[in-house]
Amino acid sequence: MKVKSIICCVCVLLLLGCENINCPLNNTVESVYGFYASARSAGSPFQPGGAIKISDTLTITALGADAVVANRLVNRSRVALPVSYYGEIDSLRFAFTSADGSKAADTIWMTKENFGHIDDPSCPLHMWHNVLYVRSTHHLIDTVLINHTEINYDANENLQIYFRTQD
Amino acid sequence: MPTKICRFISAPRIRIRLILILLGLPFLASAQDTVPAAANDSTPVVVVISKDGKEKKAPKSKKKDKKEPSFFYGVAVGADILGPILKVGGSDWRQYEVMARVNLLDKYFPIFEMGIGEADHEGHDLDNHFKVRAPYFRIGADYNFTKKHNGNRLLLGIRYGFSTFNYDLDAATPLADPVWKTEQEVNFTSQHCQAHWAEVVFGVETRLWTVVHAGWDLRVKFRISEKDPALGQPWFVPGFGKNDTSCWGGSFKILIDI
Repeated sequence: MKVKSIICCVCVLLLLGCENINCPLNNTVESVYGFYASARSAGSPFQPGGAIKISDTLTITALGADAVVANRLVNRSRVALPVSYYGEIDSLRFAFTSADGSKAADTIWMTKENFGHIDDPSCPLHMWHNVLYVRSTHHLIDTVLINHTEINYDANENLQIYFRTQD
Repeated sequence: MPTKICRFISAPRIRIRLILILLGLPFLASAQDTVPAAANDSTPVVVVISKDGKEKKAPKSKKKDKKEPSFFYGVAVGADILGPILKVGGSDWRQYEVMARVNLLDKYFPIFEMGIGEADHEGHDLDNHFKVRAPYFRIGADYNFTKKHNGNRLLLGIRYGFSTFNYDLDAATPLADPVWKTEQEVNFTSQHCQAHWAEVVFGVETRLWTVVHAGWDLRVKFRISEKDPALGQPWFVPGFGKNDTSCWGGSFKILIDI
């Protein structure tokens, strides 16, 4: 009985000494933008259309940081972009260049709140975000809708950009 | 002619005294010994004298003499000494726990445990620093499987545990934004959490001295629910241990009967 008790106590201490770290493998935090066609006709209210691929070359710049976050993308139906860790509003400039060389650009302002997230002290700390409000210019963009407010590891489509197609 | 009440006694005064003494024996016995009545053999013998002078014995109550264990055996208080040992051993988490336990029939042991759990942990490759110190509470019961009432016990029990607490997380290195080129200190304080869990406890216990018991137990713990802040799950939950959906734990306790 005494020996068994000692063995069990040692087992308990060994179990207490074990440690495993569960850091998520997919730990990229990006805002995902999906591209859609607007089915709005002139003078009518907004009508969402289907998903589209942007055939123009698309370059996206983070204003304020003066950093190109997406360079010369072609035939894309969605794009994942970094989010500022601490800024209240992210300003992103979407510049389009068509095959014939004509250019157009729109700016999207995304208002958000930021909070830290960590899974274990042995894992890196990341900033997660909650989208509060979005607005944009309307050269090519008709409407921007918030699809998922939470920007985290899940990589859900957060914003849906509807482009003018009927003009 | 005097009536005979015994083969050797015939005086009327002695007759009455004998009846009184015989009636009082069980009460004297129970007053001198705390062991239940059936533990001694002082069976009362009542002699009834009939009118015709023949002696008759009164019918005995058989059930009354059978040993009946008392329902309430007492209360014990104790402490877990594993927490201080872990602290001396340099562990980055430990729990200081006291308990109060009721003994019913030496079989059922309703128990209340409370303590303070603390952790001071740093990440392995990163300098993230987790800190918590908060109380926790458990309530439950044990069942003793041994049949002898000699102080040695084999216990199986269940517990419900609860803790509400705040934790802090900080890091020596600021968190830098690689695109917007900004950085901030990592210092998250008073991150509020609430945890509920259940435990299945297996333990053994022995009597060291008249009122002192010592024992250890092994516990498997299951999370019932947890309310976490946006920062994320705490690394350590007071009373539960390192945070997961389930985990193992144990204690080494000293109990004193009061």
